[in-house]
Amino acid sequence: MSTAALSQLASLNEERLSFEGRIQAMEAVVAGSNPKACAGDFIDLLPHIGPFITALKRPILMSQLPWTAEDSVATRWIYDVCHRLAVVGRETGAAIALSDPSGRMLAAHTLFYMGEALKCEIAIGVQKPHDYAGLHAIMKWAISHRCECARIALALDGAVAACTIEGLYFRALLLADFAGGNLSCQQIEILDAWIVMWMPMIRSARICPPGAPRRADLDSEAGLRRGPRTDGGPSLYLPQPPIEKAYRAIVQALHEGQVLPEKGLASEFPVEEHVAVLEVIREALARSRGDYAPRHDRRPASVIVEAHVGIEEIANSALSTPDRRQFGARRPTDIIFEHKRRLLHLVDVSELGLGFEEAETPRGEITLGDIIAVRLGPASPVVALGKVVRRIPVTEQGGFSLGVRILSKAPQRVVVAPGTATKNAAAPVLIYVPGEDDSGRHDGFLVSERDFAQAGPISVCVGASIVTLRFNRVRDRGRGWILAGFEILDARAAGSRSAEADPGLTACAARH
Amino acid sequence: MDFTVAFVLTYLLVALAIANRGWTGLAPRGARAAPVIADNSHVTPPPPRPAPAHPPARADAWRVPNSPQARTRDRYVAARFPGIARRAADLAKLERVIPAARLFFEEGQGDRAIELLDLATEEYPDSDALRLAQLEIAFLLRDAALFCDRAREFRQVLPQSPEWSEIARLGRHIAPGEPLFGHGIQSPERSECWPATPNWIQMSWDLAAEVLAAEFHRESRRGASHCAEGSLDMTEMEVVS
Repeated sequence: MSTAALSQLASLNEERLSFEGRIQAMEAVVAGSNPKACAGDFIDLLPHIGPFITALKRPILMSQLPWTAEDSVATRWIYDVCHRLAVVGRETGAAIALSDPSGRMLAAHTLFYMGEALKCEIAIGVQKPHDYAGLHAIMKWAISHRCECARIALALDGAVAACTIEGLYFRALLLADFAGGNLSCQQIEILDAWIVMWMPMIRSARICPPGAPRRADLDSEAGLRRGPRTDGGPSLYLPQPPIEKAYRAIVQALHEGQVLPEKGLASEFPVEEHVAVLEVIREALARSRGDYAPRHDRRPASVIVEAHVGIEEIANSALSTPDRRQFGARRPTDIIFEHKRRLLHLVDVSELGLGFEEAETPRGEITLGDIIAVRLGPASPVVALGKVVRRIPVTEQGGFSLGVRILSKAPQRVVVAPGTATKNAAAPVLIYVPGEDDSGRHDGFLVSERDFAQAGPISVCVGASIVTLRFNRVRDRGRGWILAGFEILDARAAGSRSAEADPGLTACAARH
Repeated sequence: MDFTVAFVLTYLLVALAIANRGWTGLAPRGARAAPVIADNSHVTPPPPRPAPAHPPARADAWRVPNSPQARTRDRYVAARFPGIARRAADLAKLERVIPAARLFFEEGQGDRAIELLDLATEEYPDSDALRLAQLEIAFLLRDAALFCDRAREFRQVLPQSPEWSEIARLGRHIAPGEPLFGHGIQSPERSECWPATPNWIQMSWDLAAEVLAAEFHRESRRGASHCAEGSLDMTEMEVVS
């Protein structure tokens, strides 16, 4: 490590200790006889600690490399500090007189720190139980003083943001909702930056608007729910139109080649990350527009299954017949090449998804967007193929909880006729992913990004026929893979004249 | 000894150069051939992107080639519409863009279809094929406000288009009170059923593709004796030793 880096590290540590000292002092005051004495210090802290936290986050989030131990420690520190400050803010707020002029600022800062702590959970794991009751208490206090919509200026990410208590309250609830592992650390920062931008537009309604909007039950200890409340308790609903308007404004800005917000940490992330967040919001808006549909029942499970990750591994292991005979036992090649199996603990199952827990494996991490296949037992013909849509740490030691959305329960490896492949020397590995509809309109092929980009018409063997097809769209995608829609250009019997002219096609059909 | 070292170094340099530029040395390794595109000569190619005559307004900054805004827009297009366009200029390929928009619509992603055509129209505002496809999708989505908005734009940009009578016919169905479409001749289908659409979205006239897709699905499932689909039954699961 260079001298400059060492001195920078020492300076960071010094600043950390300084902030910790100030927080400890506030905690001591709160625990004493006069908690409201620290209200001023608490409010003064944000302009100092905010830029420091951003400076800590920037190198971690901008790096393309896996996180180091120092990165994890820094993120844990940010969580601890924000969580402690939220506790200090709440206890100070509970102690001060309701008419105290610093009450609004105190509430706003407390809600801000709660949101900041929730964002860190993507990296450090969910820290349950969440203090939703505390969040609701602040909002109830603001409503009772009719100050929930009053504008409060907060210095956030190098700029002054016009916030409201209501906006900060829903910010914390939305971040808790989206921090469940389906967004990465970068993506949650982008979402947060947009929420801060939208804050003036975030206005709740007491009566449920049409559709299945998100709602906060003020008398509960729960986060956001969906749909109308049936027991008549006090709830706040988030109407869709202002959020849709804000969403369209961001899309329009991207059409014009501008990333929003124009400044700040989120503006430095790649456009592709912004597009991924837009996709998540688009899905959430679509769910909120439709009638409320409860989630499919999850059934608990407790079995260990072998998982295969990536197209090549799935095609060569999970979907190959010889492998099925060897399931549960190590193959000779595994010993020769020290092939270590990736075992996952299946913890719950529904018709649309699988929930796993993964201890740290010797074969590299499974990450968001990976394609994964598991065979559900040695005798089972069912191979579940899915996309990792949620990943969140569950233990300090590096274990992860994974959510997998099932793409198919009957994927098949397809035999590609020789000579019809891409520009690569090797024929592309294709996995046929049948859709639910018998018309075939929802069928697709799992293919690598490279093969998708380079593929022209491809001939595959299906039964006694040779079918020539072409990929024409992307149905879904993830890390290195694409689920491609296709159109059929030609189909002919393997013994037909045109097929006989190509010995490769005939051989392929014979193998099939 | 020196000669051997020099030889090895030269060999490595040549190998590195070939790896970077490909065997022909003509194109960099990353350059890819354009995807195979079906002949579709009946489609009028759109005129090139208009270059701004004056320093562009902030919203038009993306029209300046290689500007940061143009690059951001290119990356947005590539990320939002993978497999259809790698950069905004690819949206000129009408034979790819219009069928892609139709497929989005057919798969229940009408907003995505409209956005794709919006982006393409922004690039090539004088293309009537893009605007007509967008109008037809707005019509099929039963979105009267969107249809009227895009029809108004169409009239403004392409006032002499012979397709206007057809647009007005559809407009009178979807927005009967809208003065833009006039009163016209009341067609007999007006109050009876939804009118025929002009197929500006290039839908196939025959059902061959649908039949082939259904047969492919059936054959694939039949041939997959080792891949029977089933429900996720917990009794099937066994512990891996």
